[in-house]
Amino acid sequence: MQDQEQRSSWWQTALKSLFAWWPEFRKSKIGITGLIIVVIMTTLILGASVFASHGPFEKDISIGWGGGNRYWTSTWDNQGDVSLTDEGVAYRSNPDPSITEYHVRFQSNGSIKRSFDLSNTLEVGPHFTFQAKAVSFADGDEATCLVSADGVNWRTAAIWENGDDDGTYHLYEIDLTTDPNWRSRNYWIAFEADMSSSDANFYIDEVAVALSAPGYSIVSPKDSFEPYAKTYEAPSWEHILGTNSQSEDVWSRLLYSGQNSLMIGFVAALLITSIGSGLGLMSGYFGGLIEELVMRLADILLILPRLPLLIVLSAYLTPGPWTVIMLLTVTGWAGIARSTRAQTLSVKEHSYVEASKSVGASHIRIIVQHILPNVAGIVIAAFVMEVVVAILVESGLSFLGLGSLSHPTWGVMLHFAQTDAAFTWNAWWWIIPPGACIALLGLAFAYIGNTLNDRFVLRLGNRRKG
Amino acid sequence: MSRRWLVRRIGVAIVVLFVALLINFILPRLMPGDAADIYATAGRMTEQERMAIVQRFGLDQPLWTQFTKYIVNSFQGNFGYSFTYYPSTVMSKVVQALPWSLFLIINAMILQVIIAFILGATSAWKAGGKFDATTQALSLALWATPMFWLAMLALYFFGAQLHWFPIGGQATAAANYSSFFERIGDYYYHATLPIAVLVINQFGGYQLIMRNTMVTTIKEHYITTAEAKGVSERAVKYRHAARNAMLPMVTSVGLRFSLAVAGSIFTEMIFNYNGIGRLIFQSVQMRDYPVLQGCFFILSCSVIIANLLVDILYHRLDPRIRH
Repeated sequence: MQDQEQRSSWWQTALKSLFAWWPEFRKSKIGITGLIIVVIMTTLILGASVFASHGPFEKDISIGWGGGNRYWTSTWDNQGDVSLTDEGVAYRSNPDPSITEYHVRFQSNGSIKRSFDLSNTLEVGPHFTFQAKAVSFADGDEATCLVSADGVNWRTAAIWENGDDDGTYHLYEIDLTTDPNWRSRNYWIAFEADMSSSDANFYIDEVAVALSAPGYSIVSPKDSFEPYAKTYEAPSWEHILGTNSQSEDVWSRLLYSGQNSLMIGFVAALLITSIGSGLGLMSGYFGGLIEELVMRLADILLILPRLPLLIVLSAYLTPGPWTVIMLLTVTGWAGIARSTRAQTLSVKEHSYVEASKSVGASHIRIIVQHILPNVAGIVIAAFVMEVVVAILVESGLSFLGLGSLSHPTWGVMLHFAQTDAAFTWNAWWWIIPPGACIALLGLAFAYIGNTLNDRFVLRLGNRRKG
Repeated sequence: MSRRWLVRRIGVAIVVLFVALLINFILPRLMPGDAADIYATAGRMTEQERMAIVQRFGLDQPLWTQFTKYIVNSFQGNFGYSFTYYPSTVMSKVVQALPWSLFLIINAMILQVIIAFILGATSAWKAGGKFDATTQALSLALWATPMFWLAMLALYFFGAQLHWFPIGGQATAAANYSSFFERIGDYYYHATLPIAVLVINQFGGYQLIMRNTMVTTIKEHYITTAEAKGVSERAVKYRHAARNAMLPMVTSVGLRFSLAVAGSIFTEMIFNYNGIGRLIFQSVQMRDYPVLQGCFFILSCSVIIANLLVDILYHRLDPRIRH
């Protein structure tokens, strides 16, 4: 063993010390359980684009053709006279609409499409009318109405941009006959909304196709086009965890929010442990002014209540994932610095360190070859625990309303569940999953960290004593 | 206890207090715009009242003068006015809320220590056994559970669904208590769920310390001696071992006080409990910076004082560290 270490270069030693925990670790049932949970959850979260049934900001709004009916008649039967029923559904003498459910997707790069079969009205010129309004359009937000006679070639019929956010409905009329293929069998109408700002909304109301030819007044389902927002829907096959107050799919939100929670937790923990252990190691090894400065700062940070401090700080700063990471790091490094310093101090006293020093080994060499392998256990275990703490603290801050809305985390989800009174709607599927995810991921990391502590850190400690 | 140690310890406390004040002083001045705008912008303030505040805090003067005035005002307990509740002062809002928070925190901490004492002693008694493994796994799981989420679930199931406990507040509104006990009973009735959530979420930390100390304590010779003498297992466990093993746990109360404070912020918010935590939540929502800073300062103070007291107590209690 000693010979091997002699032969291997210092970076190999360093690398080996980084994974020295594994043979011991795999014997622990609780540690392996934690690892399996982490792997499964991370796979689901990172593969959100595969596992999520809906997009990150997608809203599920079905269309009612009047009366809150959630179905849209997909074809018209235009034989005989056109009449409108009380419900506003266009029926002819032979009412046989094949009914399909339809979803409006208001989302980044999403669209709603709807085809009209005008096969028997070729001699009249179809016009398409609808009312629409746009609310709080920010820079870069855009919505378009597209029409097509074949479902392949689309042309823009109307466009809403930055300036069009007066918030009132306007009537739009689009002459479909300007399309060269207007005599085709199907007409397609689509709305596309590309909204980068999360509070932008685009409403469409009163959609109808008017056939404005002599002898025809208004034909077609001219009833109001009612988006039936699927708010607070209980879990179903389509939405396995139901929907929230914004008609968003909770399962998909859970996965995409998990990405942000995990990213923040991971990066913050990485920064906290590397800065904390770096400072601790330096102050332990070099001592003097550095030690005095670092340790006094750590004392102060360890006494000040962290959460109130974080709340005050984030209330003044613009929320965002990097703000949170920065704040977590600034307030969180002290504990690790203290324990790393203590460990460094005790390792420094060993005779082999003295020996290396006496043969003229450089500081870097001593730190990497002797100190680092001995503090690695503490640092790795602390890192794993710090991930849990970071995810928990971030979720707490977000829950208080100090989180980033552009990068929502599980905490942000719970914040909205609370402010939108999810429990009053008995929407347990919106409240239980995000908290359970934090708890499960936290528990898994905690099991790993605890095992590392038990099997590695304590063992090291015992060896030191003996 | 050496006097030098005490002086040094109090010195640290004062420095930390000063840092808390410094943070409060610097933060609003890092914001774009005039410091006067941040301190004196409450909607209902008249120009005269505004000028009075500017005068009092020297907001039109150089930074150094502002700082000295700020420190002087702080020591007089003057942290300005609440934006939202003007003309209420920050201090009056904070002083109203603090006792309720302390009520929750202290009750919760006592319960946590008692539970941790029993569970920790029992799990260490047969360390590595089934009970030990289960309690460790359970307390880690509860620790990793977000406090506010636990509180939401508790409120929903035990408050809204089962109606066992009130769904909010710290006392029955406009109640006429016939006796002191009735009043205390009502307070505890309202505090049951918040305290329960705090205890469940945070007892694990104490339990871990208790267990680990107990594990080393029961290896000591005097325990073997006691067993050999034929002292009953129960007596050895609690009277001989656990009593000696509880010191590190009890002294960790000081450091863990700030965790309890953090926990009470969430529970108070969920349970509409009129303590500092709820005040913080409201101030965050209304961006009532003066109150927010006042809360931060008062919480820092309580944590610093709790730390100091426990440290001094520890020094008095444990003869081993007196040198």
